[in-house]
Amino acid sequence: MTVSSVAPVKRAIVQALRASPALVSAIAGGIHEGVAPRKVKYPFVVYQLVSAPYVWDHTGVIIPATFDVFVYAVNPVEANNLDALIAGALNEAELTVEGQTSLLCRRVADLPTGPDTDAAGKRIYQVGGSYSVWTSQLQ
Amino acid sequence: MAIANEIFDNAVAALGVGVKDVEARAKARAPVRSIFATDRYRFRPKSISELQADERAGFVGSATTWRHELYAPTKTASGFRSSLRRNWRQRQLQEAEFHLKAYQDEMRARKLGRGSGRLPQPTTLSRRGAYEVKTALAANRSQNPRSARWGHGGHATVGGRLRGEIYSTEPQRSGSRAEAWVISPTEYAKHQEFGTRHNRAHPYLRPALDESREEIVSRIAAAVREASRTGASKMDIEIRVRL
Repeated sequence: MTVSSVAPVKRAIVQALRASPALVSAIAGGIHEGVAPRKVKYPFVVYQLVSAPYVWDHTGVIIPATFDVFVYAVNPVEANNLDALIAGALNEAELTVEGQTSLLCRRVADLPTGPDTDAAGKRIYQVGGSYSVWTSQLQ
Repeated sequence: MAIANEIFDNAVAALGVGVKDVEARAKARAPVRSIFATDRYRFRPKSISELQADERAGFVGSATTWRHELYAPTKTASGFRSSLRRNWRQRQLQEAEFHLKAYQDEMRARKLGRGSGRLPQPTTLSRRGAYEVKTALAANRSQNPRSARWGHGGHATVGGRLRGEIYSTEPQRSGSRAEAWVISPTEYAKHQEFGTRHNRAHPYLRPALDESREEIVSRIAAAVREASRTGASKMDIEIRVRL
């Protein structure tokens, strides 16, 4: 049995975010994985894989992955609004994952982060949530 | 009632074992800075006999002599004094600076040699390691020499405070509930877990919990099953494993 990794899930999440025109038009700095480059316009979105354990049973494997998706903005209201758009795009979304069957995609937590300062000394706001994405691959 | 208490005791004991497992996994996953480009290299301060051998061999113009001259040892009846042993930390720092210089020379050569077909040479320090040595972050990191060693005793990392401070609590009962916690009290723990504008996240607590969740539940279920083999009456147990 060929098992595919969590990489298609990451692509599916980005596709789901890009499928929302309101979100795409609002994000000037784009969507980045892990950390955004230094000179990126605000606001931007960063997503990060937190965990992706493989759960095997007699039918195949399920990957109950967890992702963090954050918005960085100079304005807390803008950050919260964008976070709400992201939640709208991802919560209960039907993801199209290559080689896997998407079982659920759900926001499971708001993440406790406060204001920060970037390299230029600008005050920025990091707002986001954790999303649980379950996919299965049958034998 | 006594039997229900016994079942609950078993479940709480299994929870205690499970939370230790989560703690161990969190510690294994907690990020620790490594300053070496490869994990096979270790800094090791030269021993006194090696320094004596260098001096007898008359090495000139090398780091060996350079370090040796800095700590001109005095002779005693038994040979060289052990002042070199007392300066072992400074010797480590000096050796790290020697490798920093080599790293900087290599980077300069790469920049100048771009397009000339010069093959890049491997460096001992990683890019992060060079930054740590240059800013003396590694040297100033800890009051405790043990946690600031550069390669001595086989350590390829600096720090380890985040990992070292992770701890778990014993299960605390309150009524019909029991709770146990895995805590990472370091002030920058949340920055490592969730990331910041400048650094990507290195989650360690949540992955540890996710990997251990099923195991904890099955361990508690097995403990309950074992305790209830004595023929206890029906008992409802709700298990929640959460961050």
